[in-house]
Amino acid sequence: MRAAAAARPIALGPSIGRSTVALGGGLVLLAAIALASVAVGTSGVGATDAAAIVVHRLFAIGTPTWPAASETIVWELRLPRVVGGMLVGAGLACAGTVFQALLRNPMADPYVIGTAAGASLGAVAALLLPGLLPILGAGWLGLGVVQVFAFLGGILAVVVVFSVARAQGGTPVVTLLLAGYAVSSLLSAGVALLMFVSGDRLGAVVSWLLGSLGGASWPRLGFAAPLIVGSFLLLLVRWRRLNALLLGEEQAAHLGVDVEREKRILTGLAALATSAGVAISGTIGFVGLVVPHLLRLAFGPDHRLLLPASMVYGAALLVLADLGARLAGGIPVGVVTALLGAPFFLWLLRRSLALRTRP
Amino acid sequence: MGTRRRPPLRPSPAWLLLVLVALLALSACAPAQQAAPSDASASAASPAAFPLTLTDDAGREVSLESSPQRIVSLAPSNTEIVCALDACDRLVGVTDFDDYPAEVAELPKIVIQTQVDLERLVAAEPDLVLAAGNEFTPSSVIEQIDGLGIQVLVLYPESLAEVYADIELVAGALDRRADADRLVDDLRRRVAAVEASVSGADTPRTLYEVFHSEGTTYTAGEGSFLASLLQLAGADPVTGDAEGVMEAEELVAADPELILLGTASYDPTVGTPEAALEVLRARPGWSELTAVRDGSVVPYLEDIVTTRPGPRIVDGLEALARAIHPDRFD
Amino acid sequence: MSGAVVAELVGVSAGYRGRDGRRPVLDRIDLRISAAELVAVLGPNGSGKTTLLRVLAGTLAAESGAVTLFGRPIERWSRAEIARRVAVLPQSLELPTGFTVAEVVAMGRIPHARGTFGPGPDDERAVDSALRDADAADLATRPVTELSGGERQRVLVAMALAQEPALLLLDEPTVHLDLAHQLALVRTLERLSHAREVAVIAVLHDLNLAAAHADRCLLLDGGRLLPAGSATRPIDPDLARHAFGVPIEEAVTVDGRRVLTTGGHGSR
Repeated sequence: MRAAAAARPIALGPSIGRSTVALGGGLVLLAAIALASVAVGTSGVGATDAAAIVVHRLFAIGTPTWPAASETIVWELRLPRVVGGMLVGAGLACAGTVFQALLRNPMADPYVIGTAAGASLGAVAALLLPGLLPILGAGWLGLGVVQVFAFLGGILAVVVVFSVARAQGGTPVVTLLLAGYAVSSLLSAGVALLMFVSGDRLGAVVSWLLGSLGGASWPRLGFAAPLIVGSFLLLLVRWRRLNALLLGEEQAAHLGVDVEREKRILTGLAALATSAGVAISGTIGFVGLVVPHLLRLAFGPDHRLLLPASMVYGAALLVLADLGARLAGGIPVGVVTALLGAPFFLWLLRRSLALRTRP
Repeated sequence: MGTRRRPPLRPSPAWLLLVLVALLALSACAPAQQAAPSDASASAASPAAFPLTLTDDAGREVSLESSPQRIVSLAPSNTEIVCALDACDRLVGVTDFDDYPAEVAELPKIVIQTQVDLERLVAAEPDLVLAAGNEFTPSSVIEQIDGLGIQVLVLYPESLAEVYADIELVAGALDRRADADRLVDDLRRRVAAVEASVSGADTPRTLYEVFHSEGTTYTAGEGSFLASLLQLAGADPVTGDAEGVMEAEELVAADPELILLGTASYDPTVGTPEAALEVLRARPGWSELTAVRDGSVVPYLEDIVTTRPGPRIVDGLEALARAIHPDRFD
Repeated sequence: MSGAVVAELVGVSAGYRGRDGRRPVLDRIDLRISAAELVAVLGPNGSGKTTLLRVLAGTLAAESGAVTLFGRPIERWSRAEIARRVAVLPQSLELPTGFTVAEVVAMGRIPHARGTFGPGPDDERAVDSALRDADAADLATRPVTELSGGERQRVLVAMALAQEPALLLLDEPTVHLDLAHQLALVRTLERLSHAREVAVIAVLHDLNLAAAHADRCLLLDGGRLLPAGSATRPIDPDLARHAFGVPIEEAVTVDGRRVLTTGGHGSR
């Protein structure tokens, strides 16, 4: 059986051209949404002024023809929100992609192994304990401290889940999922208990849990950005191993992947990005679940393209959702993603059921 | 005192006494204050008063270079204080709940449905923000405003004395001490008058209903501002827990003799005593309460002033006293 | 067959049966595989054929004995190093949706991955020749979800070949194939082992097919690995009978070849 040599080479994955279009298009989309987001707000600072302010601040070009208040609005309020949205959106979408591959479960999202529950408990404890235990002195620890507690809570939860799920020889994926569910439930119960005794701080707690980019500021982004970007860089180069994991752990091992080590690394990096994101914005749902599925539909499951695409499009999606949230009267962006994400996910589900073919 | 006309700035003994009282009140809540009026000439602007460091109700130290001219208020009670000090014209932003005095309704809304819009706040270019304590303005928002370099003064009075202190505090910032002294003096006099009117009368066990839902009543909390007002108005307040929450069982055990329905201020279905009684009788366990059996249920329409901790709180006190002891007032 | 020793097992015991928990699946076996030879492993279900392959692939540690790959003890090999030399075709593998055949075969290049950003010309060449050698070139652009059982098998073989291994382990590769494709596959393995100098170990069910094409046949019986025939020596029917527990008798074809067949009255 001799096959004629192909006139042009067979594609071994998404072509350079296709990848460029996908990622380039995504970046253009992201830039457009980001610009729109910086140009729009409730105070009437318009697009031209906003653009001029950003250029002026970044490149020291142009003389200010705008009031100082406008500059504060654009640079201290709008821009951190947009950058925060990009970081968190990219982080969640990327982590969702990684967990869906690692756990070989399409329902996996960044929170499935305990990050949301752990971060929530950390944040809520930081929000409430100073009030509950007056001996601590300070009444309000500050958003920065809440952020650190949230981050640590998320990381610690993942460490606990991983330890619980560890059996001799490895950490089976199913056990990881179950342990994640169990630990999350326990920590969520802790959050509920704290909410019950929260008194006048309940509003602050609920606000955090719903997820919002309203608290984004340059110092807080400064804490989270290196963690998120760092984990991105380390994850991007692992695309082959993620592809291999799609074949199952045994076959991945036959292809040279140190599966247990890879699980730890991938989980650690994804949890890092997720926890750092949650520390900025609280628990925003659906982005990490829906974006990977959408992108797989559009660009295929090869992680060489899927992983960077998830970052770009995840960023764009969240900034867009935040724009919508701001224009709708300042509702928390987590509400918007839930309202849009859930029906979308249902649609995805129906579509994949219809498309599924069995050999 | 002869008929010789005194020069306007010359102190009289009574005036001096008032200034002393104001000073004492101010020093009670602003110990770090650097400049104190050395004489009674507080009616004119005194540049020597600034720069000024005040301590607000949240214990925060706020430094003011000069008297703020652009004020954003994040709570209606704060707005009322500013206007009562004749500085209404300095307001550049209020909340969507602000309704007194009427002209503030025209001002830009910075707080919408209890959400502080930071963009609008910055756009209003305030040099002072009056926030509300106890998380009415969330601590995170206060931190953010602080971070933007805008001065914030947090007010949270929990008693009449603290309302006076807050008036003095804001007056200090706005350089309106004379107005404050007059205002506080007037308020004190009215309070004393109320006390005198109800003195000696029986103090009925009184429930002030702020809100009711699904068997849980929200009323004055133990030791709360509202409870102290009820006491001043000549009642024995029925109180819930620290937050003012009271379950049906506790209410039946407390057995109020008089019920003031603050909800009538918002809910026309309890606008008349007859309608109100019907509603209350329908609630499980309520028909056994003394107040309900005796028909001592008053639809109370002054809830706003009774629960807004501003200068008109005394209006609320007077309304309470009239509702509790109508026979003492005519 | 001449050739360097690719893998060696000395006194290896591995795998423990669940039920009695004491007797190992592989019981002190010795084995030496050289380059450019095709070895068929035969035996009834559960006799430890998969276990043997896993020990050779390094995914199962031996309880005792020494396992050596290319002269070095297997414990000293990293997973990645093994993958560059040893390819495994598992019994069954669910292929992930959304990929084409070529893309899946290209995953076989992962152990050799050079650039961070994608396959290079070496990879393309390897995939190309793997597809041709596995007789799957015409399937290259098909989505993997649209393959029949036999086509799937060929794709998996191609993926293993794309790894350019020096040792190729195949676990029941003929399972879903029709007769023509079974024959074609075994012939391909025979050809590849000689042409590419690859040591090939294939678990097969068809005794005659194995005997006809493999350089050596090994029979797993009761945890022991027995030489059971080669190109020059047919499989001993007594050994087969003992291993499989069914009546097996020898017959001679028209052109003088000896074949084994089930049935007959040969006593167990």
